[in-house]
Amino acid sequence: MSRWVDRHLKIIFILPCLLFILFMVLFPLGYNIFMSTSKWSMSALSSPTFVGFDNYLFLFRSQRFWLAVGRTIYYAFVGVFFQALLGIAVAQMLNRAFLGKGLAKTLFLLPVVATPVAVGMVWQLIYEPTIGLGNAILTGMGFKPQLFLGSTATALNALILIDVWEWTPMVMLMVLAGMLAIPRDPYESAVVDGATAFQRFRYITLPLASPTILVAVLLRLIDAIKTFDIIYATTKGGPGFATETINIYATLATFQYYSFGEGAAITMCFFVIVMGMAILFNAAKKRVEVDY
Amino acid sequence: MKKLLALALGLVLLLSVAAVPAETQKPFEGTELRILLANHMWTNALRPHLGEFEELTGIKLNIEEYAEDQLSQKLAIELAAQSKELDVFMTRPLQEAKQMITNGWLYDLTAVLDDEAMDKADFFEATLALYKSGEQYFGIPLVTEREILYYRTDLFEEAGIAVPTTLDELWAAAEALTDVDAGVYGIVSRGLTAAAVTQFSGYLYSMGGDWMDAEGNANVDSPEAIKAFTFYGDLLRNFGPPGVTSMHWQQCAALYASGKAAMYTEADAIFNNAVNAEESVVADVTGYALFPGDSFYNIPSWGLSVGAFTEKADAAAEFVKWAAGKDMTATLQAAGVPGARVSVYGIPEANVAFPPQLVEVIGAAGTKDARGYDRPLITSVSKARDYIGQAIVAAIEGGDVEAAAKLANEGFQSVIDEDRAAAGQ
Repeated sequence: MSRWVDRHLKIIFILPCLLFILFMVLFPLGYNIFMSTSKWSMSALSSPTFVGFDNYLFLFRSQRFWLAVGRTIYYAFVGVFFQALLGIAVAQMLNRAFLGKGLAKTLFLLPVVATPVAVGMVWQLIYEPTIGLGNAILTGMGFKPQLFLGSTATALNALILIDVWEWTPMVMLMVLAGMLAIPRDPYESAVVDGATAFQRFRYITLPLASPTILVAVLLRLIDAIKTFDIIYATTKGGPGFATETINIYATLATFQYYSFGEGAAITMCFFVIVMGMAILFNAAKKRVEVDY
Repeated sequence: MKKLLALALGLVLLLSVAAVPAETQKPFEGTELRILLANHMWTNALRPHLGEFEELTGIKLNIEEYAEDQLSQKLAIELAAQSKELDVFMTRPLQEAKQMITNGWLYDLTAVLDDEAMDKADFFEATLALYKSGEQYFGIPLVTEREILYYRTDLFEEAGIAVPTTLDELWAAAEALTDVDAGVYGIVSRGLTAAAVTQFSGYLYSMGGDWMDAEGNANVDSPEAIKAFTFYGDLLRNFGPPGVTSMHWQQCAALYASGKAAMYTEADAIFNNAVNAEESVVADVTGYALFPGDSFYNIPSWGLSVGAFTEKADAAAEFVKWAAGKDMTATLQAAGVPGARVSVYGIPEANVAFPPQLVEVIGAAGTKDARGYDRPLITSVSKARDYIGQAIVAAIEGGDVEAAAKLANEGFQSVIDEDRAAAGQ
């Protein structure tokens, strides 16, 4: 027995991983591809009928789908842009010793550990146009009150603000880790050469921390594109279709419209987008890897 | 002889002992039923009585409650997976029931309905018809709803205006009663995309429009429909609360209950949420009137169905008979839930929970041009509502209503076409 185990050790060791990939990745993916070429209302009386690429053609011709794709990309890129900007700024701020640094770091991290659905509900109250905190602050500062989630014009941006609030600390944490790994010598020689604080940041910190920044940004991008919880907990895609991203559309198509094929086709398109991001991520990672 | 007598007596005794459990027997003793209910007045009213059923039958009830959209999605997932664990649940005859019947997800309840104690003839005929497919019935209606006007008697008195009976008067009243500085809006009604569709229906019907034309094609870009979209949108934009496009009935009812709206067009069935004495500041100053238009809906909003894949169909049927039976319907009616049975409206004790004015309004609704649907009568209702809701949102935001109505009509027509193709398969 033990000799048999010894001989097959390499197979035995990778078997759990293989099985996992088979059942949790490949099978669902294959099934989804199959479903995306079928029409089925989840009926117990009739099985899915093969319709070829009909579902995809339907989507590609539908304005609703393309708008959802556009919104998903807008949501992810705009959100992550501000998260990166603020994340780097806060990381730079925390990248030195001061009294209460630990406390500040912990406080900054709180949004990340909060449950997204609860976050959504709290923000819904903040965004309430008549009694919410958001308008109280805006009008207090002399600005015009906003409708936030209650208007097709502002709802998506209001959601992005929630995303930025929740995930900036994550970017900050990763960037800070990257900054802490930078050796001290370049800074010391820069100080000797008379570099200003901004120059040290611009020509030492930023370039040397850029691999981590890039990783953080790409990871967040993939994550932001997948966002579902906050949108579902607040607007469910409304008002109108104003905040309907690909994920929300797929959920509605599948579980509210009972159009399994359409839902599967939407998720396949989504899969291609996320896959593209992942490939980009790998390529970018290789390119910016630096040695100190 | 004595011995024989003793033996005979003993036998009689034995038989009678054996016969006792046969009389009070509980054939489903120990059975557990999983029951999924909507977060609704009916559920609230039934909850205190669930123990009675458990005691009566020995069946243990495991109740789960969800908001209507969550319930609908949860049911879809579990029924698509042909779950054996799903015994009884609430369905909306006008929303998902048709698709569920087509999908073979619902258990045939014809036998339950034919049970003498159920008194099938007692149900409003139109309500039962929505659960009928062929000669079979797949659900038992529980609650009926009509769109009515809730209004603040104090504000109307103060302003010296009469309760509106036409849409023009509604507009005038909303305009007169809006006092933004005091935080009071003239009117509130649903503005959230798909949710708004049902309450918009009264405005649409009263303007002479309808969802579909005589051939069953989409008709929400008709001149009447555009007029109705414009009216509803302008009304809510000018005299409604800000952010109304994200308001479902829960938000509208809360706003009205907090005294921030002078009028509210909504289903009568949720009156407890709007005027419930504990949470509402307007309980004593709320009046009820017929929807101020020529036509509005009068529909069965919820019913009870049994899952097609349950292994406890008999026990489940027992629960349905109890919950939708004559006695319970009267009991729940007395707690303020408008039932789907004719008889309960004739029992004075069953209507004590309703404000007398509301009873009058419900009674009068039957004499008006009330329609049996508050949304298109098609299979893929949910998708159609999402498209029609777009035009409502656009109208509230003051956009190009005509273009939005055209777009909504195209979307709605594509849903109808899909349904037709699916039915042809």
